[in-house]
Amino acid sequence: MGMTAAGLHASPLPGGARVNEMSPLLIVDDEPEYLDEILEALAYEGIEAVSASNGAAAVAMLRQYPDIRVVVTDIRMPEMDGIALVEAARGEFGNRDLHFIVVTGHAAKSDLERARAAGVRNCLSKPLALDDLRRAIQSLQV
Amino acid sequence: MRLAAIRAQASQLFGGSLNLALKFLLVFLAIEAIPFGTAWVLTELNVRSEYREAEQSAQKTAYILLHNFEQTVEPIDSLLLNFAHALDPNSTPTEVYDSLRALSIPAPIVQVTVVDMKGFVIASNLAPPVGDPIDLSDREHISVHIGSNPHSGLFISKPVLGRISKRWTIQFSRAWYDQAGEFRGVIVASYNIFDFISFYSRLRVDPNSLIALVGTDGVVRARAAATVSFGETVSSSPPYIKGLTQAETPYDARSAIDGVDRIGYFVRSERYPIIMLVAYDKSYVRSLAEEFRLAIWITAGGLGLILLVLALLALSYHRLQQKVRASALRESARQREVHFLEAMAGVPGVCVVHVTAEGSRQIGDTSGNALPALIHEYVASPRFVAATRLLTGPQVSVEYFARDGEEFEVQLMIAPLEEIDQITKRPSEGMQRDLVVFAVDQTSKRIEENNLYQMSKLASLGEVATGLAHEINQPLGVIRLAATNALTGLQKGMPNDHMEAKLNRIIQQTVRMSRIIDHMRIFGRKSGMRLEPSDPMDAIDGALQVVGAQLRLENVSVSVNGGSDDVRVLCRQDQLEQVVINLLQNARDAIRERRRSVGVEYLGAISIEMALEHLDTRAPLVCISVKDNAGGIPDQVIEKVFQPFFTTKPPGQGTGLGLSVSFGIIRDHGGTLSVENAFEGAVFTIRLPGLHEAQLAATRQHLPADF
Repeated sequence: MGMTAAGLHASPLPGGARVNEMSPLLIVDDEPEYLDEILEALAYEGIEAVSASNGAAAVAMLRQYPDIRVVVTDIRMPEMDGIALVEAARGEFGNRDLHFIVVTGHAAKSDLERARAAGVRNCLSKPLALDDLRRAIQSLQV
Repeated sequence: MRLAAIRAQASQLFGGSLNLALKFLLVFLAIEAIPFGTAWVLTELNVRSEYREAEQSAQKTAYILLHNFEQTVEPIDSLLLNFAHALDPNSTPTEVYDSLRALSIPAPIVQVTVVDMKGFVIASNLAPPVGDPIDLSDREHISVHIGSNPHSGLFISKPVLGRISKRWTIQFSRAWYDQAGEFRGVIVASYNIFDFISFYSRLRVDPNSLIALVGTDGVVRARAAATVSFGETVSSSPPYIKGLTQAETPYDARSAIDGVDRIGYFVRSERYPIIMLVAYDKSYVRSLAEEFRLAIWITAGGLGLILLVLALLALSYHRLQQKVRASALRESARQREVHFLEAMAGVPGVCVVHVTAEGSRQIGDTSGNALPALIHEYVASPRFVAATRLLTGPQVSVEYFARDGEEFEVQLMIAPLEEIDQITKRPSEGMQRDLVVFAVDQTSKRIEENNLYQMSKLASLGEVATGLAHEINQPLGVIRLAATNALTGLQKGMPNDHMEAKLNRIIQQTVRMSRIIDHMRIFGRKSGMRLEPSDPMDAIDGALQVVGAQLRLENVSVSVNGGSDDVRVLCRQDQLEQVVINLLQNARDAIRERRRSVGVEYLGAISIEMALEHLDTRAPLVCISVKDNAGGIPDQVIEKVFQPFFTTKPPGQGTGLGLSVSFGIIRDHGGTLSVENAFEGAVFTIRLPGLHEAQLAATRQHLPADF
């Protein structure tokens, strides 16, 4: 779409609403340093985000914040992995308008297949580029 | 060396051969017992028969002498009896003297005396009666006839010194009764004692033989032995008491008078109160057959000597035969040895070297590679000489040699050929050095194994790559975001602290990445040849660094238990690490498989345990076990898991090399790799011989040698 970093703030989402104004993002990853940096980067962009370190914690966050609409999750995590989280959230919050973006370390075929089987169409690969994330969020049309 | 030989001989003499010496002594005694025992019995029988003969002779002599004595006494007795009968009781002393003078008196009778009923001398044939009559009432031979209980018959007195005759005499006395039977007095005949004794003396056959005339009162009347004597009292001696009670009895005793051992006979007179003893000196009796016995002993000695010589001949013959047989055996053993060694030398890749004090010689094919030269050099080295000096049995070792930049791994079997001393269990002193060394070049086998290992590493590399990509992308992602944030912060004029924190984070993440990459090197490196002592825990830690993250990501928990600070194993650490990685991946695969069938709620767990097994006093076994909870391996499969290219995984996922290569690596380290099903899953156990600190020090000394 040829958007710039500055353009994110300016460009309104359909219906005039901006994602960060409407609801916070939920970032799920087992790496604390990664969460640290991405939340800071999103804050610079003016995007409000919360984080969880695994699938189970993410489910708890979804319960706590009913206005979360976008979940960005790593696939490989201890306890409950990203795909399991997608399935669990679909089950528990079926009536909510939830969107998922999965991030995978090596774009392994099996991981992508599982994500697609779970109905996730947005897959990003690590190392994550902020522009890619921004583009993916915008493509959700939320 | 001479001293050592002497010491060895001495120890043989006092230690091992004591039994032998004792055995010889017993055999010698048994051999000699036959002739000398017989000789002893013969001489003993001879002595007894001599004694019996002496006894019989004594008995005979005693009877003769007693008879002779009785014949001597009888005329004296009848003389006294007749004289008394004819004597008128009213005769004056002078008349009595005259009638005494008229008597014909035998020579040994020195005096005939007539005593009145009160014991006073009436007359003696020696002198006419003048002056007061002499009182003899106190003399025994008078008093026994006077009194209420007079002696009947002839009385034979003890030897007494005559008051009138002044000579030692035996008094024969009889009571004098008149025609009416009235007691009138006593008539005495004094017998010269020396007549008896000289007679008996003349009868003696040896200087110590004894002829004694003893009264029933126990007083010796006459005794002829070494010296002539009389008057001794033997009434308390047991042989005499025995002789007194019996008509005749043998005598075998030590004389109370002169202390000589005698054998003989007592004979008691039935007519007179007298006992005759004849006895011979025992030593004299024994000496009679001395020559006979001497002859017996000499014969026995000669016989004993002949037997001994025969026994020694038999023994030495036996020894000789044994020696001949032993040397024949040794010769055939040598022959077999030579054949065996030649056969061994014919096996390809085996080099057989015979080592003696003179040097080393290769047996069989002497052409070929560098190995024989290396072995010749090695067996001449002081280290080899010292290590094999006291070798008593075969010894197996692995040595590494380097030549012209090439490294060789050689397995050596060293066997001593010297005879082993049966007592000291060591090579006999002074024996020549004699060893055989079998050398097998393992270098090509090692290279082959290394290649297989390399293949398996590449196979695991594929499996590990997925996990590693994630591992590397993770820090990379953090670095990218941190750099982006730093840049933004710079543009926004954030304080320097912010920038500092970002840069530090970037550095940290790069360190993390380089650590991961370090571990990747294992997959590209060729394994070394040498075994080095290392802590088995290092291999476990290293393996977890490579696959730990991958396992965590797959939600498999890993626990490590046990460990020991001071134990080491002799290994190639990267290979051991690879084995642990293979086992962990195998466990992970099993867990994955089980999760697929059971579901997400199943929690995979792997536990690694290090323990020591003490089998005996030597170094312990180090056991590293990897246990999963994936339900175990089916029975029909468990025996095949170590076969190359055997796999239960879907095509394209397993190579079938991991476990078989692991098995080979551990076997190559002198250990074992085994598998069994435990409670919840399979347990793979690596067992390796451990080293303790002391051995470790020895190994370190051993390693930097010139080979």
